[in-house]
Amino acid sequence: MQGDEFTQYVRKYSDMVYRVAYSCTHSAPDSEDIMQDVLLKLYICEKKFHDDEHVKAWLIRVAVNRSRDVLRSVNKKRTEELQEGLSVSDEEPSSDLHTAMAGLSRDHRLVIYLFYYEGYSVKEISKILRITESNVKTRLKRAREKLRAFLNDE
Amino acid sequence: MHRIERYYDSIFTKQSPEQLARDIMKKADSSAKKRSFRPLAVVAAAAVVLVGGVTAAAATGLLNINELFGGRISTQDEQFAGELVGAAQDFQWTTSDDDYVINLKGVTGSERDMLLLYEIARADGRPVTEYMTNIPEDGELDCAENLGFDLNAGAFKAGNYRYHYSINDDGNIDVYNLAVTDGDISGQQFYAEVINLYPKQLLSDFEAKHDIFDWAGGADTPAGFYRWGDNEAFDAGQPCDVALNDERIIGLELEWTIEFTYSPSDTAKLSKVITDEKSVVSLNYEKSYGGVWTYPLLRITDSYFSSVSGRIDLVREGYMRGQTFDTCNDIYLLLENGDKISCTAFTGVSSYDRHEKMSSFSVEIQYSEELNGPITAVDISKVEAISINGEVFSLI
Repeated sequence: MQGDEFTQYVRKYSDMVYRVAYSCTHSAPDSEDIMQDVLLKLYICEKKFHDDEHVKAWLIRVAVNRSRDVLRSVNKKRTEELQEGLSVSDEEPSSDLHTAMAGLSRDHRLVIYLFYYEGYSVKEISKILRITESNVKTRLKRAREKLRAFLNDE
Repeated sequence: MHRIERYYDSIFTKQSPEQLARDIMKKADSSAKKRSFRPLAVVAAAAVVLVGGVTAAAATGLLNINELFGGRISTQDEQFAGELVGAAQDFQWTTSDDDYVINLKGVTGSERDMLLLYEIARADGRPVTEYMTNIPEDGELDCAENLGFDLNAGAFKAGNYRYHYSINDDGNIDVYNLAVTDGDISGQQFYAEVINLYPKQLLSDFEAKHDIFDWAGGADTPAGFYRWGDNEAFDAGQPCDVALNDERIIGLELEWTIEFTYSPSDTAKLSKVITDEKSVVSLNYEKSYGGVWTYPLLRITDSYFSSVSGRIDLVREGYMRGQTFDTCNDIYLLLENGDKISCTAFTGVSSYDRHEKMSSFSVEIQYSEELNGPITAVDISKVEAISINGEVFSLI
């Protein structure tokens, strides 16, 4: 990939990759590392992309896979609990929601992010994550229920 | 959900995109230079790998028997599995990326022993055994690299099944899928699914979460698992049946993983052999909706509706231990004016009779505002039918 083209993609998608990684790991340092790994893979990959949407979906897919690898590592398992409570940016996100999101599983966080923030449809999420549409719906439903329950308790 | 947007707005990398891009490009270029100085090391490493055999992983795309057979056979309710014998020949199916072709050469045998033979070939004619590579980062694999086969053994009561492979003269893979049933197959479901490409990391991910202790879970018994980790439904380390409670298992279509070794030579395609087979018992019988059913899928035994919710009692032929009915279902009510009221189903755990001939579900439903928009009330006198996964059951 040419430098200018790559820089454009970084400008456009680095935050998205970071958010996907964060949705999976809920760890800011890990998300930074994952984002760099994923973007590096984009730069050196020889895959022919059809369009920007294809690049975007590929980046999400790779970010999810890379996040899983990170989560599988022994070190990650040991430190995961410590990372859970960390805030992400200097501006503390709405703290109750942050805590509620931390209480979701990574799969639930991921579909919430893709559906509500990235605006993907259930069908599109199903394709990106390679799970059934029913599964996407179920995850969305349960994530919403958990969020709602948590926020109502606050 | 504006709060969720604000939440994610507050999550971003602190690195500037330009600097980030520069750093990454620099890192990549630096790595490339290093690589260029060690071609011999790469060759040597490759040789070691090849001598030792490359363990294959898996593949992409989903192939099920319905797709294979297409419109050639009827899959109506009374269809018996034995009628599949001889019903389809030379049916060709092309994978989603158009790179590979599955040729169903035929179905033979008897009701007891059915043999499906299909060939996996490249669309452009090159043999599939030509080469193997590692799994790319996005998990999309060439079909030739690895093959995962999924035969839903749970569809056979106390059934049995085997696979056999051979490399044919064209260098493609012939797969013999022998399903042996135990006793009369009438009334049982026949279902076989080939997962033509699935990322092995899905399996790894699965295995990382569950220490499988019962591979031989039986043809109609979901495997049990010792589970560790964060599932609030179970104590860590306690045996549990994840099929009952773990929604994440629903997305895994893992039944068989076939691993190959590969030794390159002028006749590489002939030297490729199967070295290992291992099974992962399917946990998700609901997926059988995509397969061939040889008996009525289910019937409604009772139903009750209020203006905002309801309950449907169902009976399904076949023994489905602990299957839940709250996922993978598309349920809606059909009103006499043609309106559809989409429902959310939940708490539909199956029970079964002593003879394990059928499973019954009692499914609570709610009229989904999410799917229908605001609902004030449903006039239950106008409910004419229930549709479940596309199958319509008249209540009149």
